[in-house]
Amino acid sequence: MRLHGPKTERRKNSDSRSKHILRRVLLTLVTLVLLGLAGMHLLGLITLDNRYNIAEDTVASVLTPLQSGFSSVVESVVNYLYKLKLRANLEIAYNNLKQENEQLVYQAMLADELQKKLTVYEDLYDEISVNESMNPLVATVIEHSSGNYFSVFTINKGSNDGIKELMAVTMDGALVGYTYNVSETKASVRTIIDSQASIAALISSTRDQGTVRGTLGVDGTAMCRMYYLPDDHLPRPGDTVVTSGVGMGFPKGIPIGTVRESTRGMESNKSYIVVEPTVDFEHIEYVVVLRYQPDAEAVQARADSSDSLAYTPLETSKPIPTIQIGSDFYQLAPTPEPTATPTASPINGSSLLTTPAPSALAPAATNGNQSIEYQVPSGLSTGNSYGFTLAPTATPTPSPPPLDVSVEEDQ
Amino acid sequence: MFKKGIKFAILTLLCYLLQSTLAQYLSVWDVAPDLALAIIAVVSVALGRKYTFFMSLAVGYLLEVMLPALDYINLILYPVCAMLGALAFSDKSERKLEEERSMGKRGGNLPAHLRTLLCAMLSMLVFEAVHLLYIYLSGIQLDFGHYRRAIISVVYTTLLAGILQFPIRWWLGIYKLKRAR
Repeated sequence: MRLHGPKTERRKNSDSRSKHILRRVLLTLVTLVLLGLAGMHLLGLITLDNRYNIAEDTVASVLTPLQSGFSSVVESVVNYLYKLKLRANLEIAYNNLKQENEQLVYQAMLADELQKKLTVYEDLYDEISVNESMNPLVATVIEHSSGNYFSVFTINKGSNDGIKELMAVTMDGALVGYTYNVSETKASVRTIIDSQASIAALISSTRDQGTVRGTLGVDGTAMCRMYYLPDDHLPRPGDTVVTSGVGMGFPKGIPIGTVRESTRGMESNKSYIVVEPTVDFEHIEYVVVLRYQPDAEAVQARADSSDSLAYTPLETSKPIPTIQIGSDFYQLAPTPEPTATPTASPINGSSLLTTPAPSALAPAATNGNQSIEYQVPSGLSTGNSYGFTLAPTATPTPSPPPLDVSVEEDQ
Repeated sequence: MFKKGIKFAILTLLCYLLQSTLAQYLSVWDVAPDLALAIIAVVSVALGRKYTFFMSLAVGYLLEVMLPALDYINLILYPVCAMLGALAFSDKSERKLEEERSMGKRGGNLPAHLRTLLCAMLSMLVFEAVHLLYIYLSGIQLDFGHYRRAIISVVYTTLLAGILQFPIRWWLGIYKLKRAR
């Protein structure tokens, strides 16, 4: 420990006192300056004398550039922070809008899907309601064959639901195919474009009958061909082809398709026309199985009606053999009875006797043998979801008119 | 001493500059805080009444010169409010403490950080009260909106003083003094 002498101690005390005095002087000066400035300012305000504003002007001239520089720095910092905030808000808004957009897209897709389902259900309802007598049943397609030569699919209804083999399957008011390989809970459907399918059909305008077969296994196209048409008629493109109801237990009048082109070969057994199916086979989801089965009497009546070429003796003194080609040659129903009994009416010794024609254009069903004809839903006749147009009338007018040939015997 | 004086002068200038440039950007519900009074309150507790007087007078004068909203009001009100806060919450003198002890009281100061908050609140209460009184005397009927703005201003400035006291005290070297003890 060092001991300070009296001289050192005196010097220290003297330094401390001088610092204290200096501090006092400085504080007094600062106070005087500040109070002087404030006083000048107040005097300037009171007296409105510009001479007192010299100090203010000096302070302002010093502070203004300093303040403007500081202000620009603060503004740039604030602007940067504002941009950061804005960017964050934009990002949040963008994410919210993106999420909202995704939800709306999903809802739109859902609405679209529901709309399509609703259209399908409406079509199915129309089809079922107008063909209630055919005991229709809606089935869902649960499996598609993916082959290039066969077109079959499986539905989720089987014999437990009353489905049997060779029942007509329709969609949107047109024939899809027929059932086969029926089990208890499912059934297979062979479509009309399958080359193994063979369905009796007729052209609705000319009533020419034939057999429709698929061409998928023949040339790979989803088309049909109609064989065994009479040689004396050439169908026009656009004519509607419907089921004739002959052969299988199909209802009559189910639209199959339209005549696309007539391709007749030299041999009559190879002459066929190309029929474009009405059904879109690429989009089959629901089908209607017509569990219609003609009873035995109806089948017998149908078989009898095909023998309409019969000799009918006239009850006249000079009987004339009459060959009558029945107008209901293609119909399920029997030939209607003539409204009037033909009587002998000799005219000048040699004249043609006319046999009364059947009065009904489309014979009505009778009790003994029902002739149930497929009714195309009205909603589908103007245009459906697949854009085809069906025949305007479900019951075709017999064409050609009944041909009566009367041969008068010589007296 | 000179170092402390320079720091104090810079702080005084900064106090004015922040109040005149930054305060408007810190508005909450359209109420801007009084950054100058917040800093002066920190200085009141950290450096004492003398520095409070210098700072408040300088800031009041600069605001009066550069931003003359009302004649005299900044020049008078800032020193008055600041000195009221400093009188109540700055460090008590040794003589005052001894006097309290002799009267049987505990004789001590509240924590400095708490005193800073109280000092800022008192200063702002006086500041807002004078403004409301001035408005009332001008013939404007005071309503809930006026009181709401005054309360928000007091609370906001007090909170800012509570936040700003840490960097300012650190910059003035108050925490170093505390460790040295």
